[in-house]
Amino acid sequence: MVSFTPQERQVIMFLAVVVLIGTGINFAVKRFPAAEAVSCSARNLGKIELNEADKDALMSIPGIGEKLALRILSYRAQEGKFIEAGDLKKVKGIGAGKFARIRDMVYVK
Amino acid sequence: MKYSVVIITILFILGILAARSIHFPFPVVFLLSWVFGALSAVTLKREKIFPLFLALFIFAVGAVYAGNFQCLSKSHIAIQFPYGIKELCVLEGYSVSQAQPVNNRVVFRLKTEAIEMAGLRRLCSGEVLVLVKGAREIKVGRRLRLTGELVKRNDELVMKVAFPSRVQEIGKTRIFFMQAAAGRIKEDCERIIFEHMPPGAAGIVDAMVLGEKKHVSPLIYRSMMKTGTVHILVVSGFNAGIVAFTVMLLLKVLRVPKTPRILLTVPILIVYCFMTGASAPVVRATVMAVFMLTALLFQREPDIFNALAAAGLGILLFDPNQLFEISFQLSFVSVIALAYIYPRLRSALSLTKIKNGFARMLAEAFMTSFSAWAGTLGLIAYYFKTFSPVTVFANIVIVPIASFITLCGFSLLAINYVFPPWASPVASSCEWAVNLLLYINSVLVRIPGSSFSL
Repeated sequence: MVSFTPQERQVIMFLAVVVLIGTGINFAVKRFPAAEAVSCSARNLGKIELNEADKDALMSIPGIGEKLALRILSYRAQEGKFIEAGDLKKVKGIGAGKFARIRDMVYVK
Repeated sequence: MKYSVVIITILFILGILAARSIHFPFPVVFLLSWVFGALSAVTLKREKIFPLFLALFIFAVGAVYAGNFQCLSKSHIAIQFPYGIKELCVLEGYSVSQAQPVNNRVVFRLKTEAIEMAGLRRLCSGEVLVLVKGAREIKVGRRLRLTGELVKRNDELVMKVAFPSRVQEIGKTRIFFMQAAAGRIKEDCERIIFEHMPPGAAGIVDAMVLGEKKHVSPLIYRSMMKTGTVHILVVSGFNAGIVAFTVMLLLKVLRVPKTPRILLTVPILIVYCFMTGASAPVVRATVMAVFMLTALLFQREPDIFNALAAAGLGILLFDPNQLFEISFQLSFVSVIALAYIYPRLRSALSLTKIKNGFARMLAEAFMTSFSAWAGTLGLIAYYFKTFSPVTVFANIVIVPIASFITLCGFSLLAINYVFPPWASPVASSCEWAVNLLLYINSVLVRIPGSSFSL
């Protein structure tokens, strides 16, 4: 039988704990709606929410300058909340190409 | 002498710096290096004079080496076209780096072989930076034919290609077999990561495990820059250590004796180095790991400063210009700071005397983070014009989570091959750890005064 050093035993323990945590998370996401909601919102971390973003937040997106950020804000004020991220294409200055580049950085709740 | 490699490396670096700042005629320095070499050989048995001549010899070798590196051949593209070409031209060569997306372009380096302009074809050499507008996948070692404009930008020739269709792949070139194998393994590993996790989290794991940052959202990258935690997206010695440990463990289970175990681990580390792009921090980590393993093989006590110096010397022998690269400087300065400042702070503040285990761990984590921050403070302020007081605290919280993610990422890759049903739970743990890390980072970046622009 192979004898394991203390570090190697720690590795085996680590793997077992990781599998256990993951199994618990998988179960919770399947079983409890709250866990699923947390999981969905967590996927949007690091993205900009289009209906809550202010000028500075919008300008932090590469390719959006002050003018375009102001246009997005005025569109939101006039037309109401964005229903989906694709609505950004209705803002003057955001074509299909630009939208494709920023699509992964924005979301709508 | 305990720090012989360190001293040799410092003298070599001084030689490079001298060659860069003082423009000596090359033949004079070359002749001087021979004189110092001869004097070193003559005084080989003289204890007092020999070190002096040897030091001068290594210094001169450094200057000669850097001088030769700076001198471009007549066929070099920068010599043939020092100001670029104002008309459309065709450039042939092969890609020496993987294309990275930057804003709406992809960027890579091309080793040039021939150039065509106004119906004339000329042979050329040297590397140029290529910017291709739009998205285009370009792998290392592909022979390419590019149509675009060759312009001079920041003392460097840049080939600007307006459309992705103007990049023609005309074949493959022979690349080092380990590099080719690394490319294939990397593709497979990325496929596993993206199969088991949503794109956002997979991009972070991809960066931490394989050093591939192209899938990390620029917003996340920028917010990590502000908290001073962006270094977790760079492959480091920790990754090289995990690879070495995993391979050694697997070989041990297979009952491979110690010496062949070490000898087998070294090429795998080199393949991993190629997989992660062979940038300065990765090469440093790999050379240090190889140095430590070799010390183990010869039953000698490994020394971190000698290992670090060997890594630095190895990189500079390959390309002396790396000395002036930010990634090289940050990578080495942070490790020097950790190896030099941290042990001194630890003993000065008597951290070992703290009886409570948790408090001791917290104090040590703070001091580790503080040492790295203090060491790199000047460089970060100089290059990035930013000062982040939140960095020390951010690293204490974020580095353990990042270490967990890296371990989970490696575990995911290993488990997917060994026992695929377990890959899903490991990926779930990893994904949640990534989400936790991003959440903490987003909270830290919102703290007033967390970072200042200089």
